[in-house]
Amino acid sequence: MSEPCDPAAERAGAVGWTRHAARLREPLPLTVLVSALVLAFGTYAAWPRPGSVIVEASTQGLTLGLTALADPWRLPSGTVCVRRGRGETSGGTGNDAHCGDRRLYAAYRFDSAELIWPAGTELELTRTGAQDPLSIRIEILPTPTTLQMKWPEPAEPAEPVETAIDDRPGDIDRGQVALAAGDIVHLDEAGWSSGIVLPFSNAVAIIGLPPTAGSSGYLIAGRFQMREQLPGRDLSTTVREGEFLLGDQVGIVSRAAADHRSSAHTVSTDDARSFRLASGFITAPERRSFRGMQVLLSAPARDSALLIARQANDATVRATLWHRLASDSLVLSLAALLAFASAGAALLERICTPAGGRSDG
Amino acid sequence: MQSSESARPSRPCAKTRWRGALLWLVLIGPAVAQDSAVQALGGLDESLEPTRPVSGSLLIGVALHAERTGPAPLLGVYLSAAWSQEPFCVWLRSRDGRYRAHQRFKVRPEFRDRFTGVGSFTKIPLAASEHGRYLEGLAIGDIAPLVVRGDCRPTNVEELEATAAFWKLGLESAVRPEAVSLYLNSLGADEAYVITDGGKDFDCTPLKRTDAFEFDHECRIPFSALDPDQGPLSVEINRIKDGAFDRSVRASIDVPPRR
Repeated sequence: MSEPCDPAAERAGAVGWTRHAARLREPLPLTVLVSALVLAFGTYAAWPRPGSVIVEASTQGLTLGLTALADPWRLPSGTVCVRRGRGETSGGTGNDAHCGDRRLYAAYRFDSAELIWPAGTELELTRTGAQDPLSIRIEILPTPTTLQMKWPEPAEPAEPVETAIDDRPGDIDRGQVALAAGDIVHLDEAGWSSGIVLPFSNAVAIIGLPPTAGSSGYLIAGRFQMREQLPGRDLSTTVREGEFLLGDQVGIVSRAAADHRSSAHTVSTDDARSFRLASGFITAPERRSFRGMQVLLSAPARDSALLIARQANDATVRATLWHRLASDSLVLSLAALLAFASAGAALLERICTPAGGRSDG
Repeated sequence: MQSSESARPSRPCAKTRWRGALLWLVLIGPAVAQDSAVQALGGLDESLEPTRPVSGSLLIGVALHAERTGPAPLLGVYLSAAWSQEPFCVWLRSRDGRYRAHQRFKVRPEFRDRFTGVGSFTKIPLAASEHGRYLEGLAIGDIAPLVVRGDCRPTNVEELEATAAFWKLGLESAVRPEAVSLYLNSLGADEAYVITDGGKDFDCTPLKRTDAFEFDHECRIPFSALDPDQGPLSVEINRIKDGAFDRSVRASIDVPPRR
């Protein structure tokens, strides 16, 4: 049985339906607009951008693992200390001023020298006091490498040739010494503090040695920046930065290594796969009265994280989406503009809507 | 060589493994201790610090290596006849320096005749640790056991008597060890090496880890390089720092004969 038709009620219902439909239709463009803005915002924020992780530190120790043939190092005056074999008895007696016990090392002074480290070389660089030389100790040397030296004037080696190492190839009379693991190259303070730069690339670098009893190669101070090239900007923008504490050990690791650290929560520093290959250089401290050395290290930001080992506890630092957003002035401006526009639109709607239109039952 | 307890080895479920070892310590340990060849003289003195304290000792641990790892026992030692007559101290120190523990033991009088001749391996019934979760995360090489004769005195001495211990190795695999490792706190040495009484020379490898605080070098001496009837191993631990010899330390280490 059908209900009797009431035209007045039908009109009233039609008006009500139209009003509801209008209320539904009104916010639709705003919803679409907000969704599109959020989508664009997210895409913009998450879009990969070129960037870098930069570390600048003052340290007394540095470990460098060179994974590719490096740039030549042109060295100022110094001394190469060639490690004698443990069974070797031909060593001299007493102490050399630069290399120490003559039973352990044969010492050769040079005015300048040049060498190219082969791929796979591992070096430990240390410098403690402000007047101390920079010491480059060879930890691993996979292929024979010759240090080409220029003797001090007059052209004679300071050390008598009879202390030459028997089992080392190299023509010592012509200023050539074949280097091996265990040898140490000391660079005179006066020479290298005059602005000499020791560059490296494709390197696994750990700034600072563990501050254990007896060790002296610890990090003194430093800072890091994670920078990204934001769209429309000429210069890269710092998205995250921080400082290091005395005794920290710092390296740039892959994000995968940062995510899957060992159960002991530390990173093995001889596991090159954990690290991002970095480039940089070593130079003397800003002032000659400062101890240690200055190191600059950089690596691509993509898939990189900064490892900070502090007192046997490791922490990794990375630039997240929120760091990006918080440091992007364009995003902050748009967010502020959007908030302002939303507030303005709401205010306008409130002002322009008739008082009767707001009460619908 | 005989194994005093290999006839009744502890075999927890393979799935539980290390957790089983801890459970063994916590629950069954005291019961096993009643039957163990050694008995504790006092409780376990242990500490777990949030950061590591500075250590001044040189020789931190002496541990055996074998082809495979096993479940229980958690800790075992090689005991010769000489070691069965007086108390000894077991030290455990983690590489990061945060965990340190020591406890004294002695061989029960009724078991002393088992340790005649070339000696035996035996489990050490360590008291239950309050830091099981931390220890659970440690692997072989993360902790250095050191078993020294006498009291639990500081081990920073120039002459030391120790016996080889094993950590997280099955008793069966420890009976046929491949090598013995000395864990050193080199005190910042550029180079460390060990010379045995037979004049053999072994390099110590720097432990390149960001947590190498308590010990930073491992000197691995393969048994294949020793005489088959090697008795106690006398070693001289040498270090070179800043172009000079640092103070050397001598140690006598009881190791099982090579088979």
